[in-house]
Amino acid sequence: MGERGISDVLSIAIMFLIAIFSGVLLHSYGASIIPSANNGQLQLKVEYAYKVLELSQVENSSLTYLEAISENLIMENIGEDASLPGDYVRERLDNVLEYIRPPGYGLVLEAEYGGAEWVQVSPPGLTAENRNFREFSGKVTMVVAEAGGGETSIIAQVNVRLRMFQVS
Amino acid sequence: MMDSRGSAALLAFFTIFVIISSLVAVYLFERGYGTKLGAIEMRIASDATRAVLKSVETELNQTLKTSVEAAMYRLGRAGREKGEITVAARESFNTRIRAGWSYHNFQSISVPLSDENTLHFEWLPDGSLQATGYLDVVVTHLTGVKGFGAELSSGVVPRYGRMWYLANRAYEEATGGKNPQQVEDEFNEKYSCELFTFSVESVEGSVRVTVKDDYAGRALAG
Repeated sequence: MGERGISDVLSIAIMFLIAIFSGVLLHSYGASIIPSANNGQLQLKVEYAYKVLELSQVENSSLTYLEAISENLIMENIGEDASLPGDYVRERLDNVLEYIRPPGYGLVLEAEYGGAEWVQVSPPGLTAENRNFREFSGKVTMVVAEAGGGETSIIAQVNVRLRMFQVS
Repeated sequence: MMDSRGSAALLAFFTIFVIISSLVAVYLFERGYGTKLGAIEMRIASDATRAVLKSVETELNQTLKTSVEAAMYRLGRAGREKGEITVAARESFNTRIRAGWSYHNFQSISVPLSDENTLHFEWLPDGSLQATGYLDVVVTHLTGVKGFGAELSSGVVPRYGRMWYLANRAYEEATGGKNPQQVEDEFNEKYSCELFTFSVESVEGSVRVTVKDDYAGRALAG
């Protein structure tokens, strides 16, 4: 009566497996909060990166990066020269994007005004298609006096969007 | 046979125990998860609200600065008075506010128009303009999180007041019998230390005075 048979060993083994399996399931369920926290952090990072571009100036020009890009797009529409040449701003912006992007992530900066577009990707050469993005967008508004002494000023709104994606 | 039936009962009992305790654990996890997720979502919403509010504030200040600069440039070419600059700048600024804002995931962004109480222009002794104020901006996220207020502060460098005064003086002297070229040379010599450049010319019987603020870049008063 007191001896153990093969069925007892099988029962104990199955009980052990059930306990392990339910433990793993419960753990994975409880750990699913981590991706949400991670997403929140990524959203914060892209917001900070946008703010950096909104506040930091191109050398000592008194124009911020977003203002310099906006001025280029607006002047392209008006047909006048911007105070900072587009190529120069693009080169400086490459350095800034390289500096502010978190390790393992890329940034895409897009600006648009009246059909003119500015797209810059960091690291350069990467394509941003088919990727998961976190993004923050805003507007840059510049009031420009009409050329030739017009009676009104042009109120130009440039749409800007910064997107962050994982580089893998 | 007795042993086999005993093991089956034990296994069944244990399985039921594991299922019940797992359900309890899932329920507790769900509650805890829901609370934590809710807190994280609220934090993300707060951060997004703060970021959007700051973005709106920065844009308002950019608009204010460029409004004043554009008004100085536009009205300066016609030699208009200082008071007209602030009126034109406020008009451009309010035109931008009327266009409104819309952001993804935000229920509303309310920005009131500026008036004398909320936006104050002050001419500084060197002739430049300082604009300061506060607007009761309310940014409402879809989750109900709200952000309030935008501080306005813009210093505009072209010394319009000084340029306007000197342009009028040069004009008076040039129309008072002095040779325009002589007036131009005198003013360029006297005020070069203030980084102003003067051009006085006679065009079709009338005198045109152009003053350039070399410190601030392209800005004219005539």
